[in-house]
Amino acid sequence: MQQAATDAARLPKGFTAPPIPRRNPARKPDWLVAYLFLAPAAAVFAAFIAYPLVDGILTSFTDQMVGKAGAYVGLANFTRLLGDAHFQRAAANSLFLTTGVVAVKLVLGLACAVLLAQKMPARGLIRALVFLPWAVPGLIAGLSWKWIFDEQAGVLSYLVMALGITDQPVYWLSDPRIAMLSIGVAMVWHGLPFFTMMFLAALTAIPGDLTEAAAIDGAGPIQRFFKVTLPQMKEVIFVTVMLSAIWTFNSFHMVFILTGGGPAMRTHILPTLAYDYGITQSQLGLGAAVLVSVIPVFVVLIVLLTRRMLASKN
Amino acid sequence: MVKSSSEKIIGRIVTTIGVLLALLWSLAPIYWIVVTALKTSREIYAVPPTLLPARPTLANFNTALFNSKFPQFVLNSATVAISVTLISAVVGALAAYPIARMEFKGRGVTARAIVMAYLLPPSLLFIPLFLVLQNLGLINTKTGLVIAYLTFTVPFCTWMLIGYFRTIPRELDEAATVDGATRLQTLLRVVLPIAKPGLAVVALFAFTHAWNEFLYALVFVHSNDTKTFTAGLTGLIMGDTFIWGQLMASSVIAIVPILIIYIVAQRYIVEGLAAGSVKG
Repeated sequence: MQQAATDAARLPKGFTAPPIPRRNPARKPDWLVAYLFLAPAAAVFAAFIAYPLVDGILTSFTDQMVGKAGAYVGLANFTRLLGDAHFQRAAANSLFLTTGVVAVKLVLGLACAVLLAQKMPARGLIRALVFLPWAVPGLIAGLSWKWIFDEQAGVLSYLVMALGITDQPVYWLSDPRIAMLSIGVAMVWHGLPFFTMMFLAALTAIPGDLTEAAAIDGAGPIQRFFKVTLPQMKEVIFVTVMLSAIWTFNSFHMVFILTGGGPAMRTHILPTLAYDYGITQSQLGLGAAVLVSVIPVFVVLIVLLTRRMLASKN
Repeated sequence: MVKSSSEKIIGRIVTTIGVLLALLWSLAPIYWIVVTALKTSREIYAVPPTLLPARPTLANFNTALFNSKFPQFVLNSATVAISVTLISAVVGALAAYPIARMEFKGRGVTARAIVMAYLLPPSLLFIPLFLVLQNLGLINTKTGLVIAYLTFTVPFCTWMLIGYFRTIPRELDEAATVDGATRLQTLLRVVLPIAKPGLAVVALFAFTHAWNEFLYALVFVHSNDTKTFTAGLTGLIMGDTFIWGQLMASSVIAIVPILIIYIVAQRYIVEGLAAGSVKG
């Protein structure tokens, strides 16, 4: 300000300063700047997301192996998968695990969120401890449960026998029927805190006067929860369930570490089967076909979720 | 609020039991990792298992730290995770700003592409990315792994930062523009300083993701000077016998950096999670 005043005093009489331009005319147009800013992200997207995705789809129509170029084989990989018992089993396992684990996490997550929203001593510390599994790397969560489920020296086998529930060792990870449940338990353990955190954040954002009014009208706590609280959490529940469905479907590490898809390939989920075919057995074309076969499911999930997430941000 | 006293007492009992169960469920497996790491190999296989180590020992940590390749793996993880964090924070901030603030053709499509890229699971991309990295000669290099992680962290950081930038009053950067600042100056000197807490959370998430990631590490790197600790530990379990003491000690060491981050930033992380996927 000071500087401007003295400058004006030095100017010759009769001089009128040109109006200050709101935008520097020499500056690049805004849209060009926007594209420049977006360029690095767009490069990553084009080269390492979009291109590989297209390349993967094309590969699924070839018999490409690791270290050997493939030839076009049409739908051969897909027709082979349709008649493949391992593929059918893996698809069923994926469906069973994803829906089961997400449903359990939804119910327990709501319960935990309601619980942790109550007034109690050391609430902050208790919340942090309940959230702790979320901070454990997935691989280590898997290792920890593999050790718990260990059939010779694992603590769970001992507990079950010591409590007299059974006098036979339980094959937590080598009996395929039990193994799927064991994998599910480990997945719930690792994924539950995300649900609890999301629901707790939503719960604390609900104004208290509504539930209070319902209480005055004589609604019991259970009725209040289902009639007043839950409807207000609809949006958060939708987004959390969809995100978790994608991630749970994607829990490669749990299956890979706990059972490796065995025994006899009966506990594979689609991503681990794709790894087995594509990387372990070097049949990249067939592995890619396994992945391509789940794209339609993801397109539906992702389109639905994208719409909601964009809407919530605008 | 009217509540009968019996309702209150029942409520308190249910809450207490519930909290104890939740704590037991969440902490028991973590406790078991730590206790196992502190036991001698003979005690690890003892029947019945001991709840507390009878003769606590640091031998497993000693082996993991000084008698194995594990420190090298941790160093590789750190190099990769820090590079990923820095690159994705810069690229993400640059991309988020125009979407949050500027008018240009294709803004809606860009925003949609970012969310979709963020939602795309790595298990869908690992075989095609393997092919691309192979063609570029980047299989079994840290650079290749960094690139692979950027496919997740860049869309994620961009998406989160759009949300943070939108919470900053528009008048602030409009004032800067009127004063003649370029868009880049506005971003660097006005928007980013205000968005610092958001930027920190986003960076922490990117770091955590790169540190914890397993599938890409398993597929894309395989030698001692490139393997991250996740791939390295998998090497230990792929043998016929599991060295549980050493595995658990290594796990404890690998959790420590994440735990420190988590304790320091716990409150922001919860807020950040809520901000990232739903309106807070």
